[in-house]
Amino acid sequence: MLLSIFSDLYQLISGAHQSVPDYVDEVYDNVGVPTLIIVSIITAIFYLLLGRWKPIFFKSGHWVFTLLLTAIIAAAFAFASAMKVIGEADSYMFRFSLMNGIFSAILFFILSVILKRLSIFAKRTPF
Amino acid sequence: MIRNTFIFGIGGTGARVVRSLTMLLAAGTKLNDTNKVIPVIIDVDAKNADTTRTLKALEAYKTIRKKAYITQKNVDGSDIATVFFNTNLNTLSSLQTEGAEKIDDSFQLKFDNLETSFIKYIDPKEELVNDVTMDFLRALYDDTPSSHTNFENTELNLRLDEGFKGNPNIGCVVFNSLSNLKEYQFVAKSINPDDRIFIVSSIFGGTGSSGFPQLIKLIKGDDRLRNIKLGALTVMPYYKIADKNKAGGDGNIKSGSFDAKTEAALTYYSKHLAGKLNALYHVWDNPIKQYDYNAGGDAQLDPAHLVEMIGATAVIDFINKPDEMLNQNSTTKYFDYGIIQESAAVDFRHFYEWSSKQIMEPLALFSYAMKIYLDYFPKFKDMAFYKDLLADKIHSDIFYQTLSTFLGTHFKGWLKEMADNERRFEPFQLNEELNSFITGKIIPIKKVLGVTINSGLSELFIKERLGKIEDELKKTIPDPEKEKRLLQLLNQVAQDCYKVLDSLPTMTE
Repeated sequence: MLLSIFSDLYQLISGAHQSVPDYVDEVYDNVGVPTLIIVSIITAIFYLLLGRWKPIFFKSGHWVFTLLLTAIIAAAFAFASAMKVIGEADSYMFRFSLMNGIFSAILFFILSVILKRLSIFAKRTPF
Repeated sequence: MIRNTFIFGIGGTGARVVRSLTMLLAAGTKLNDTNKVIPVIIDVDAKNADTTRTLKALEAYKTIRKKAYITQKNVDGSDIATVFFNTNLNTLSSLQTEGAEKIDDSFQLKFDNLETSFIKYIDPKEELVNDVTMDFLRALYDDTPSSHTNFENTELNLRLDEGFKGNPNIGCVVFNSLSNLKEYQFVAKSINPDDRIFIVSSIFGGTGSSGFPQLIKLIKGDDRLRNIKLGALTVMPYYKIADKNKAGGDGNIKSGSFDAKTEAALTYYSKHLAGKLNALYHVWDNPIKQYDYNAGGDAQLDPAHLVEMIGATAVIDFINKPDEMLNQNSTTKYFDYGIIQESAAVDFRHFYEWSSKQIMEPLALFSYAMKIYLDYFPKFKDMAFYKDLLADKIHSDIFYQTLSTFLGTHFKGWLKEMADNERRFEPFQLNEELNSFITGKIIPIKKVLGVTINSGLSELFIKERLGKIEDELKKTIPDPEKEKRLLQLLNQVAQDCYKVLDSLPTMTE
């Protein structure tokens, strides 16, 4: 069910790659769930671990840095996962990776709004 | 048994001691069995800057406490030892007194009809101009040569609303009318048999030394007040005044006469006041500092002095004394104050155990809070606790402005003045970081192999504590009561700082 949601989502935001069914069969599945887990872990580290431990990484600048880092990790992960299955880079792979980065950034923002109230030092970050 | 204590601060010195008392009570010095403390400032010098400053500090205290104080209890239900603004310091009008005329909500007792000279005060219709009584009054008060055409500077022509300028003989005439004041009548009707009265005055000036015996006379002459527990502090000379060296003014106040006046007053007290008071406290110091000559008014703004703070501890000691220690009829107990070692600069190490525990420990806690509020909060504007509690209010809300003024102007100003005075009282290094804040005890930074494992009261430590304490407080004190949360935050972070300090420095360290 979850995997089906990711297939639909990626095809919605990146467009479908008709000539390479491996995306639908394997890549979307291999990228979607780990991306969700990675973003959740990073957000939890920001708000629940660092955000409750010491006031060292809680400012808006830190949050923007973490958001960009999350997006880069997600994009790199998507690219690496697709490369592993497809074996050859094409323009769709770059677009898919970029979209996964943007998707993870949006996910990070949504999770931030949810988790910030559980933080001590970052409860007013980013707003 | 819960009771009220009425504190009469008479004259400039009385006002300055009450100012010190305000600071000590703001720091959380604990008073036993006390409902309200009612300071009543008595000063005929309506513009006296010392008095004005004290009144402003009292008003600020009242505003802060009303908005931000909450009772904190230990698990066993007892009060937590130190909570800032613990004492209900309030005005006379806060008392519900049946049958008394309504009075202003003020800490000051106001005399009427003093905007005139002494001679016009005692002879408003000039009926004595050619009377033999006038010759008698001249003989008593006027030492200007008869050939002199300018009588401006004589005692008879002294303007009463500028104070008595070291003339208790004039002061006692005016204080005879004290019982006619509605504020005094309000006090007389408000006092219950279990309440206490404490009088603070100097012995070497005009207002205090004349008002003190008159007030005792009034209290002891009132059937309702005759058996009330009565204490007093007489402040003896502890500073000198420069001779008048500027044109204008009067030059009436001469510190060369302080000792003679003190001796005369002490002789009077021993004859006429012995046994009428339950406790009489004396405090003095070798006069070292010479203040500029100011004959009262808005120019008389003398810096705070250690002696005044010690005087304030007398008030606290009296309030905390159990009834049985004050119950001996017709016996006055006398108290002096001493420090451990003679020194030009006094700090926490110079005080004995009672003062150290009861007075200095709260003072250290409140000073930590002041330091954090004034010096650290502005650096923490991106912290969540700051955004929650202060960001949108600190420059507009009256409470936050009052708190900033109290900490920045009144309390810090008071500490700085004492540190710059002679003898110096300098328990804090106000411009140092928190690790070096307490004079005589530096909190060490612990390192292992060059790596810091404990940085003491570092900025990071303060930020962490502020964030975590605020997070806990938010669970019990809701947003509409943010002022209470802020005061508790300051209170608790100060206690955390004190835990790191461990204890105040002593002579043996």
